[in-house]
Amino acid sequence: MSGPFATIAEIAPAIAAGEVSPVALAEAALARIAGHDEALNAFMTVTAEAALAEARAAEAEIAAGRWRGPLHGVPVAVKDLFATRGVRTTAGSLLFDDWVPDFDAAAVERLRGAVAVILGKTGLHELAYGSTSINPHYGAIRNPWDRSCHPGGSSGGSAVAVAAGMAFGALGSDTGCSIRQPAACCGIVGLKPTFGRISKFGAIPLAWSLDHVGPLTRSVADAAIMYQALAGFDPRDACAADEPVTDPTAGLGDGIAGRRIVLPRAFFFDQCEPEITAAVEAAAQVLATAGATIEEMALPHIAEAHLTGNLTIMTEAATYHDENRRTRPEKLSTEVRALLELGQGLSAVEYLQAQRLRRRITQELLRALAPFDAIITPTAPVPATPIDNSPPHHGPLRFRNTIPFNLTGLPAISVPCGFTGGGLPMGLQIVGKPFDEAMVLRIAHAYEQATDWHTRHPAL
Amino acid sequence: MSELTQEQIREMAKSILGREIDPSEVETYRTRLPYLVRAKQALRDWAPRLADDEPATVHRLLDRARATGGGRS
Repeated sequence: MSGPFATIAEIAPAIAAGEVSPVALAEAALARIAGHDEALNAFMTVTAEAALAEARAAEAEIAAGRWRGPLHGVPVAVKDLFATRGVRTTAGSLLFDDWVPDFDAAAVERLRGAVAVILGKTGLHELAYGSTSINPHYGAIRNPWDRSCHPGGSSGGSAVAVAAGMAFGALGSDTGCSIRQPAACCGIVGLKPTFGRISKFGAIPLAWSLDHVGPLTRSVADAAIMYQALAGFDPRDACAADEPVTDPTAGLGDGIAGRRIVLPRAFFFDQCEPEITAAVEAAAQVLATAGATIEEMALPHIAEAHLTGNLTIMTEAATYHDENRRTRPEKLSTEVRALLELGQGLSAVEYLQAQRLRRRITQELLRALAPFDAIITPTAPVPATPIDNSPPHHGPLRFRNTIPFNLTGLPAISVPCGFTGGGLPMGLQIVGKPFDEAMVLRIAHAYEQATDWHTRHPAL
Repeated sequence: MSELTQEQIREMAKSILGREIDPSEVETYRTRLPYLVRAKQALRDWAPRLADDEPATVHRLLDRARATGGGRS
């Protein structure tokens, strides 16, 4: 299969066999960007010439018998907070408007090492500090399912690029929801691996202890392929985990018979749109039919996890941007400036109390999860809403169900699980145990194989 | 819960931000300041129960792999 909505897993064998040309793929992706991105605003920068040069080099290498793996010659996009050598990197902020790094972020190095073709940089919520990608400096990014709506955020541009068939996969970052929630809003897959699994080196921080790097893709198999290329220890990242990475693609189709999955009703379904509740309940049934046991159980201290995550983001973001806020406040939107100022209102004692509570929450959550393989929840209790009329109470709800797993560092994925009556996608979140991305992906793949949500694409 | 008055929001701002906010800023802080006040109180409520808990350590200063610049990949 080819075409804009083919998956990496589908095209990789054809590329390896010389049946699909990386140059043709890159040209088609660039043509699609040229045709649709004026309306969607997914890309901050399109590096067309560099992409074509990379595609030609990739193609020549394959022709010479040196195929380097499933990302070889595949067009991908990179969120504009990852440093890219010689290419402007803004983090969606005027603070970095003219920053042209002289190095690549570790995740970008990994993509280049896998010979992926980088099409350009995707837009995001200002400083990744928000969940709508309505950027006051570079314009609102638009949801391809309904252009009047936001695509979620902060990795909104990456989600839109993948959902709209402009890239086969994209790099995102997630501090509270920023891979999974835009994936849910755009009807694609978003994987936030275990904390420390993928190097953050060269990614402009929002909150050091909560920031995660991961892929957005059109299928679970593609998320596994990108994860495999990106994961691994990096001594340049102070939070990097030196844990062995097992190939998640190997056991992807092994099924979920006998797996025990927690469905926590309390907290995660509060204020949930009825259509989303129904979709996640139906997803639980699908997993049960595939052989898993679904068990309802409340997770310990989950409301405190939300609160502690929030306080941690606020304090760490205020610390990282302290000088920027004081010396260049005019470069910040009113919204982000207020968030940074609020973070200044927390004391060192309060931050450390929050980290003590974080340890307790993590330990008790791991203890509760010991007999189980995974947790399922709605990715977000609310879908995308109109850019011009987003209900204020949706703000905290958009990241409520996801931030507990930034705080505790557990791996989590969002997969499409249906559409609202208004035609907007909804997401199912699957959370696993530390460093067991393989199980998260396996459960997600089993769900995906039993449903057809991932085969639906927006009409542009 | 009834909506807080402008004056209540401004009092919270004075206490937490250490400055007066002008009326045009009230809406920006209307939901966030009360949240922060509740969050601070929740932390205070938890403190007596955290006697044996050290802070979570997510940054590791030293380990062998970092010291040698190597490690598994």
